[in-house]
Amino acid sequence: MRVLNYGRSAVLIELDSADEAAALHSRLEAQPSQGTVASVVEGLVETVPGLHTVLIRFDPAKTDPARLAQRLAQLWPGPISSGDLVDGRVDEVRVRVDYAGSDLDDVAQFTGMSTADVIARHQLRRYRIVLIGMAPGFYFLAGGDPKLRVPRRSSPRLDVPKGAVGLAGEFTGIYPRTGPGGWQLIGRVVDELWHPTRLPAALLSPGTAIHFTAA
Amino acid sequence: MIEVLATGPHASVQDLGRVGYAAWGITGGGAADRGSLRLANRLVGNPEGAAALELLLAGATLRFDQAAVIAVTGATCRYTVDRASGRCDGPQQVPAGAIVQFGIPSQRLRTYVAVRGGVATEPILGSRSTDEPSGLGRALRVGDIVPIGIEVVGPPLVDVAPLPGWPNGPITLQGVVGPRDDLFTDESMDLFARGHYAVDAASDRIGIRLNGPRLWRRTEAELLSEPTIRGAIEVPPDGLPIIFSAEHPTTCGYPVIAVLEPHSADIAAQCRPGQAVTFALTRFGTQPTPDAATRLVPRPHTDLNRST
Repeated sequence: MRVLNYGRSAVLIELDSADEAAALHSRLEAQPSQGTVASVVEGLVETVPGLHTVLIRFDPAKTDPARLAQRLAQLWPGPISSGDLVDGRVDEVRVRVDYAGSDLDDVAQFTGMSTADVIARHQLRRYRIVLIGMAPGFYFLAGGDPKLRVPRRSSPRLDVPKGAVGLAGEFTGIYPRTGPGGWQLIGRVVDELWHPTRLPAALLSPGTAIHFTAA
Repeated sequence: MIEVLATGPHASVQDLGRVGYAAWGITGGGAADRGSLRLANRLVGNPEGAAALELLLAGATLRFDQAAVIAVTGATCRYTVDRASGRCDGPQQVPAGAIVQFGIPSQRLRTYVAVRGGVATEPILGSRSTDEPSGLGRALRVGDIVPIGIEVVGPPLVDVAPLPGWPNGPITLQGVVGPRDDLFTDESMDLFARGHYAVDAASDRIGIRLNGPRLWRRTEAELLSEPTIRGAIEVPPDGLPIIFSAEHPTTCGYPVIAVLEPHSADIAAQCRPGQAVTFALTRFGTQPTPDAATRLVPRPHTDLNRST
């Protein structure tokens, strides 16, 4: 666990894996009902999960990075394996994708495959939703094929379409609505997985296993 | 109630934003220039975080159907109350039925209009902020009715808040280096600290894009998406930094080279396209040098006097 300063009122906690980050975040969030996180870690304002990181916003009048680091070390049980996080969920959701993303050719070129191979390979794996973040309803999915690892675009697009399926590093992402984004787009989901005024807004929750199929 | 007769390019209800929902991807949102929102509220005796109107540039026209006390801050404003010139940065009486019209500000982008009692639209997740990227609320439209609330903390106490003007030259934004400064080459860190940047026209409430010296990383390695906050400066692979503003994404996949002080994030959100900016960076935990001390006084707009 590494503690990095993030301005004067936040620290970024860096961990060794997505599972460790999820575990630390849930440890900070899962608190007795009326107690806010502040009751467990003094001066804490908000925690935000990343993929291998957790950001902690704090009140600089009440605490400082050194004191926070000390408190986190007390809370943190040490390295964990992914087995510790298995939640017994067995449902696997089939998500239909129209594979016609605008970066499909770039992905094919980068990976040295044909676009047909990229599309076929993307459907082979079982993915897991690791978090909803970046924007409301943006799904981060782990479990992708290492051969489909691609960098983000060198400059983000301003107009990624709603429901776009993108690749970045080891992750697949699903965009909730039209807006900016830097992932390499390979397609679009057919169904509306996020709708802010629907309950629940997110059709799928973190931990859910997913299979993609071509629509 | 306030009736919106015209909106200008963009008008919205904003407060100090939503805290606690970033884990679901819902950003803080709220006023792009928080210092100006706070000031406007203090001037009319509201709680600092009360909701107010944020107006982009000129053209908004409001009709008050009840007598009200307003305060207009932010952009160097020109406005009229029933065609008489209105007071800026201080409380202003608005008679029942009056029409308030906003003209072209000579400097900055965003005007804040607080009304005594606060704007009382329905809160969503603990905030009245309009967060369009998240789909929470929408910008104001012609014909909208904005209710006025009753929550105050005291009477308006000052007549006018003297504020420094906007400098002609480059603006200095103060920030703390890191967390990912170690990913950049020494030359790039030096360019970033000394270079002049210009605000790009594609800037908005999400981010302020900058043109200027490009910043390169030591390696091509990708960063795993990390949580971020308002004022963080991310650098995409094209090397041109982007300052995250109120509606920033909750996580970003590009390294954050530095994080602006909150009042510098406010100033950045007021910069017009083409505005020249430079950065004054410190390391966390270091004491300001006597020379830098005046710039580090945690008071809004202090650095605006220091044009170079």
